[in-house]
Amino acid sequence: MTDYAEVPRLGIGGPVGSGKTALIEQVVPYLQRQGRQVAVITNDILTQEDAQRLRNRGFLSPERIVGVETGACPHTVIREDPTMNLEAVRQLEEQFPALDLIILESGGDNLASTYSPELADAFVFVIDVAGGDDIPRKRGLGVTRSDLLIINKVDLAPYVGANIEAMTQDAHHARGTRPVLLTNCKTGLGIQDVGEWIERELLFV
Amino acid sequence: MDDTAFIAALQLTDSFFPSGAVTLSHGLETFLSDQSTAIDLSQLLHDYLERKIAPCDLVAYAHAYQAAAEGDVERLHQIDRYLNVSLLPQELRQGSVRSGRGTLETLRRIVEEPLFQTFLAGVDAGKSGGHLPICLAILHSIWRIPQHRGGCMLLYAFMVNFLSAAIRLGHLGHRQAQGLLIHFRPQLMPLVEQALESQLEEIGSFVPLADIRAMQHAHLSVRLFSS
Ligand SMILES: Nc1nc2c(ncn2[C@@H]2O[C@H](COP(=O)(O)OP(=O)(O)O)[C@@H](O)[C@H]2O)c(=O)[nH]1
Ligand SMILES: [Mg+2]
Repeated sequence: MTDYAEVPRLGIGGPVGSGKTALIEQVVPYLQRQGRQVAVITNDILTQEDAQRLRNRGFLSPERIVGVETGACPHTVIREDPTMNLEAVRQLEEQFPALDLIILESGGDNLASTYSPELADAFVFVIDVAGGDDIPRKRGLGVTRSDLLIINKVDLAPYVGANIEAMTQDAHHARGTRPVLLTNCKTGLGIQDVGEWIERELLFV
Repeated sequence: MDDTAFIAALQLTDSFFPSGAVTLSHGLETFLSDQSTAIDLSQLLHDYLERKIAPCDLVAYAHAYQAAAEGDVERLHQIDRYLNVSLLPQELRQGSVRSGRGTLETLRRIVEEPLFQTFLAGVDAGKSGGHLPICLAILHSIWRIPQHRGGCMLLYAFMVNFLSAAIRLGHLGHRQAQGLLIHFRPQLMPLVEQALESQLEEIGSFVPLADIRAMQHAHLSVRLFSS
């Protein structure tokens, strides 16, 4: 049996462009300010773009950001065959024994996507107001099953005619007691709530 | 092969089995990204099978199966290391280790047989990497899948992985893929028989272009696959 302690793992899913990488760019520095050691695994769909973008930000040393290719199957590698992601997790755990959290970013999902519970201990689904304010009403598994639903880009609502209140209500309706948070990952609005949720759910603060 | 072994064979060969193979293209992505050369996919698959998978992976598998049947774990590590130095392109080597290691991890808490657990402990301790053909040989031996059947499974799994990568890269239709699988059927058994008779020292692939393509893959700017 493994003799290393398993580091808690947070999966981030959601459609392409909803703000998954932007969320990581905001929430990792927040967690670091709380004294947490974090590493990130990105499932880039085509390039190492996301991994590179995070490295360029400089808040994490490059070895703490790992890119994993998906073979054009972004859902498969977080759900029914997460082997390569688990390998990346194992290597990070070996290399950085003091890690508090590993964040995984999916390559971009359809609304029915979920993380394997054996890959991620908790799973956040990020949608945004510009992707259509009817998304929560469609009740995909991402919306109904995720541990936290984030509605991002609230700043854009007036420009795309999105009704945030209705979105939030629909989301609560679809999710029962599971939480829904609003964010603007450009300015950092709502990030503290996300950070506190992560600490509560995964780091047991 | 008894029915239980047959069902075990189905489980291990099914692409539902999580081995990470979905992320590997074995250099095919580089071949197909070069729009200037026309690719004969059937010929390419033939070359891969005959000059790469059979004389390399399959020979290692055959010897590992023998070692597993004799319960010789040290020999398993030795063959594993031998295969490691025989795979030249880094991404192919990594892909083979990652899917082997992934297979071990998938079964770590499920398969209790001492041979499996001892080999796994050796891999944990860094004695060898855990290449896929070695890990499969151990499982086939434990689950009483005959060696030549296991050899066919290895070749078949490679073909499925290769053709499904070609489909996802937009170069092959789903019916064409089935046609190729049928076309290659009679060619597998002779390859297996030949590999079963080879010495470990004879391991070696000779597909220079495929190896170069696999090496170039590391430098592709747009890539869906990890090899
Ligand atoms: N206006 C606005 N733009 C955002 C916000 N979050 C992300 N973006 C932008 O949306 C685009 C896609 O974000 P990204 O994080 O790459 O999405 P991902 O594909 O889900 O990782 C980028 O241009 C971001 O700068 C937000 O809250 N407000
Ligand atoms: Mg991203």
